[in-house]
Amino acid sequence: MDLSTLNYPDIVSLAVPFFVAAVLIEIAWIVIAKRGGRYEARDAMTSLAMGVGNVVAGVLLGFVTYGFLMWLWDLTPLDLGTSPWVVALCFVLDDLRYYWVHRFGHRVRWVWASHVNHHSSQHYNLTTALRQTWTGTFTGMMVLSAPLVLLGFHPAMILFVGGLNLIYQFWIHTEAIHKLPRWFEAVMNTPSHHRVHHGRNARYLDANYAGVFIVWDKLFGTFVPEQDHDRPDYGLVHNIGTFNPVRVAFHEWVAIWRDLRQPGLSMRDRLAYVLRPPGWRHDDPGGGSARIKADYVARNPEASGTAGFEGY
Amino acid sequence: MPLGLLAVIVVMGLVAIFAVLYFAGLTRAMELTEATARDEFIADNPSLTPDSITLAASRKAALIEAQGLHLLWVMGTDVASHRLAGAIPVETKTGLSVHIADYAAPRVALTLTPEEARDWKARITEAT
Repeated sequence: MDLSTLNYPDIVSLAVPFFVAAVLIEIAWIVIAKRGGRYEARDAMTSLAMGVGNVVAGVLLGFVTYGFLMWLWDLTPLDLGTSPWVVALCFVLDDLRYYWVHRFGHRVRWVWASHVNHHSSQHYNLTTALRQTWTGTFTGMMVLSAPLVLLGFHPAMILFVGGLNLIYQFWIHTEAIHKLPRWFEAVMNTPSHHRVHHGRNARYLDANYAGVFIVWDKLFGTFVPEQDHDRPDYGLVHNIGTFNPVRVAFHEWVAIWRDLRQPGLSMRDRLAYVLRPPGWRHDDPGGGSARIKADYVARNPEASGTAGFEGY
Repeated sequence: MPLGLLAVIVVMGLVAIFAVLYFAGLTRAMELTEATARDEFIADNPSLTPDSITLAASRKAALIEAQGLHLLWVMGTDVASHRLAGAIPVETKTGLSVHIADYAAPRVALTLTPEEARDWKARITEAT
């Protein structure tokens, strides 16, 4: 691979055969070993349909993000070039960008509406990794790539390392791997760390947003280690009742629209329904993950101050 | 990679994965007991405590009283629940079809005995 030019390969497309093979291997492992995860055929098909839809959405709407980044590229006087070191630095900084996009994706309902589908499966297997958004372009989170472009990283390089980031995150969506060596768990995002992120247990809400390097969560105070006595229960705080990919893709957008149409709301309330964390309601502004954690600790006082319940 | 080749790999991959899942028997539908129904309901509604649970004879659904009437139902190996305010129950040959006013859970087909169907329809209608 020649990293000195801007002809970066479409590595996500190249990885598709690997994705398919890995899913088949994981299923075979679960059948043979009788452990290492669960599958539900309709859930898996929904996840794969979401993955295909994500690719289609990228083909149809990718020009919006790339056009925005190229517009910024024309503005910036900086050009860091295309050396492998620059690509490596871009990968690390893009992962920091990913951390914040992901954190906004859980804490701002407008962004959550796009990301929620990735968490809508009650399973945690390699197909879950492919359950990707169709509506990411509409969240406007491309603005978080702006600093990278303005620093002199070419948009094509940013999209390339973003693809690498996505591919890295594929293999961590599995229960077939328990824990990896301590040095690796300390620095990198792993199946164990990411299982926590997909858990709907009160302890695990709003934790482990990392893409590749778990150090971001440790740096910004959102890291929670997986607890053997509290196995992750996967899915949404309140699970959806459909395998229809279209409903999975758009249900939170519909819910936002329904909330905005309630009579008697102030403009402030309407804005809050869009911008506050999921679970906020005008008639119950304290709702959401903080309430769920507080209620859990009230019922289980011994959990107070333990991992995931610091400050409760 | 040419788009045509990618499309072929994706389609073949989907077929292969579905076939393997089907033949591996990994997707046998869950059967509820009163205990699992309670646990699943609380996991999905952590702020609620069930006052009563009525399990269907098929073990694929339960009506749960918990600050209102809720339906818990099996979706293959998954479980979902929903408050039944505004729901419309319609009798079918195999039980009930419950239409829920939620884009994320629009309709639930329940397998019930004729007696259960009549009783559940009355309770759901009363609750809404």
